Amino acid sequence: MTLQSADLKTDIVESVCASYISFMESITEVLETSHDDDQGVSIATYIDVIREGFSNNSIPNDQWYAKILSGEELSLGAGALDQSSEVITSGEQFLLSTSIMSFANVRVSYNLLCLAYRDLQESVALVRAHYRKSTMDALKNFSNSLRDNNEQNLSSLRDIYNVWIDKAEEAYYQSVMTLNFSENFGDMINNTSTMQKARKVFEASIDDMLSSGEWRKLTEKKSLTARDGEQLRLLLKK
Amino acid sequence: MSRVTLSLESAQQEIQRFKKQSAQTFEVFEKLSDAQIGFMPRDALTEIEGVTLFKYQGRNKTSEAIPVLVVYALVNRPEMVDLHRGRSFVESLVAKGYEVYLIDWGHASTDNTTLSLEDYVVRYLDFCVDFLREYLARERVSLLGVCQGGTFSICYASLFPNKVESLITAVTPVDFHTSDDMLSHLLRQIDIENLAEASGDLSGNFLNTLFLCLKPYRLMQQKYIRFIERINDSDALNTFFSMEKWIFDSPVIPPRVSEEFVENFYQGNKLIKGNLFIGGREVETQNLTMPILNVMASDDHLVPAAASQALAFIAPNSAYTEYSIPGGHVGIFVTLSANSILADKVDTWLRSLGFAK
Repeated sequence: MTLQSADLKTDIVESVCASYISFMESITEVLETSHDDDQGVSIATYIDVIREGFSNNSIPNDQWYAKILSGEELSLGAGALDQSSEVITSGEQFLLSTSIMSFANVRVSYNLLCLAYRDLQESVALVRAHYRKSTMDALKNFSNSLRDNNEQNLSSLRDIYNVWIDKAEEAYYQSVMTLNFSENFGDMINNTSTMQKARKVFEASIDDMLSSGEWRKLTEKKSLTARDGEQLRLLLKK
Repeated sequence: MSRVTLSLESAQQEIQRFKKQSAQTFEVFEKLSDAQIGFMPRDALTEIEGVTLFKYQGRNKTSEAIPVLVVYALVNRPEMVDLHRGRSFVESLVAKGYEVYLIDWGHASTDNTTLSLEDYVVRYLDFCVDFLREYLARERVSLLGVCQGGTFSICYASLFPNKVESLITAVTPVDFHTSDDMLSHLLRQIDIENLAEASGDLSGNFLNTLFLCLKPYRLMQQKYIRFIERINDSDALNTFFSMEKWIFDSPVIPPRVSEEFVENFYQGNKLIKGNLFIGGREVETQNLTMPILNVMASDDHLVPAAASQALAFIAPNSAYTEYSIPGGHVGIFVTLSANSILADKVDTWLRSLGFAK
């Protein structure tokens, strides 16, 4: 098997670099104003401030402490939502703008898609709530660890970062290994599957509609409608 | 005294050093020559429906070389056991005088909705074992199953004990419901049939994402930082690059196979609870009467030790030995020291049975 240099996930590496540099620069900023004998406490205080800010906001995707758990890689369901949101919006506009009372199956399949989309949104929100709690716990444990002078000395930014990774991983494990998470995660994956299947049914109904004689008759009179139909079909096939 | 003792100057230098290293990373990518995964030369002996039985070419071949058939998992490619020179478990075994055979499951089609667990565990594996029995003029063959391949091997050996001389399992899940098994925990509530129907297959991105979900901070951040810090270490670079290629190269797994595996093992835990049927035949592990060596990785986040150790309890009629090697699930095969230790353990055990001369 031959490797290609482009096989390495350069986008991931770039993102990780930026995140780690952000971490290091944040900590260094704290060091600029701290005394030598209270560096640990100063950094811990900074972490506490982050945690408090985080508790008041939705997960910011670009912060070093939240980036991992907010990425699409982990929110499998969120990726599916993003892929279908434009279909939902375009589908609604299309159905509103065209008189397709004789294509009842299209409307039914669209409604089922919307229901599936809504269920997935709810389950993604529940999984994200777990990730949020995990991040909060991780920050708290990280702060506590930095204040604990009985623990191993940290003499580099990398050392400090390693502690963060340990605490983040521990908090994540504790959060994930609960029955509640297992159920919510399972619901998210199951709802993703249901939505993907509903989308395929909707796509098939649009295909049937656009290929039908009745549709051709309608669009002979309204050319704009024909174009909208084709655009929706193309969107569904993405 | 503060837990943190770091001068501002050191911190700033550390940042600059990392920025310089990360800038070099992309230059290195441009210049990196294409590397190979899969180091040892091998010959295809036979094939069945895209599944190939390979024989690795030996260097110290003797008439008394002991044959071992490596049975790999369906998830990811089998080249992990033969990454490159110095990091090849196959190389280590061959150097000790073993004849190493390997089943490459090939690349199934996403359109194939008929292939089932029976096809892999019984039909293909049995075909390869029977071929080897005839090829080697031996009644029985030693199996070495890796991870899911180990689970397959356990099932096969239970169904056909008269064809298996000895069974070696490495990082193999047996009890899928141990309290620390995160992968099982994530899969437990998933409607796998619905998922397979929606996605077409359960390989590729979904499985890779699930594996990353087990240790997201280490696998999606810390790992890459370590790679950048070693940007001037060509061996480390090569290994990292090889591993990344291997990790993200997930073959298609036919949907029905994934469904059956998840339902029977991850959700049903039938090797422990019983009532496991493959192709209409009951897998009765009390038929495991051949000697068994069960090797675990001490730091295995995919298959916790307890998940593997359960083999001792379901094979009461076997002369059972277990051993734990320092390292991770994949690390015991690819790190310089661990893969030698693994080969040593296999060799020592087989010699103790009188199989190796």
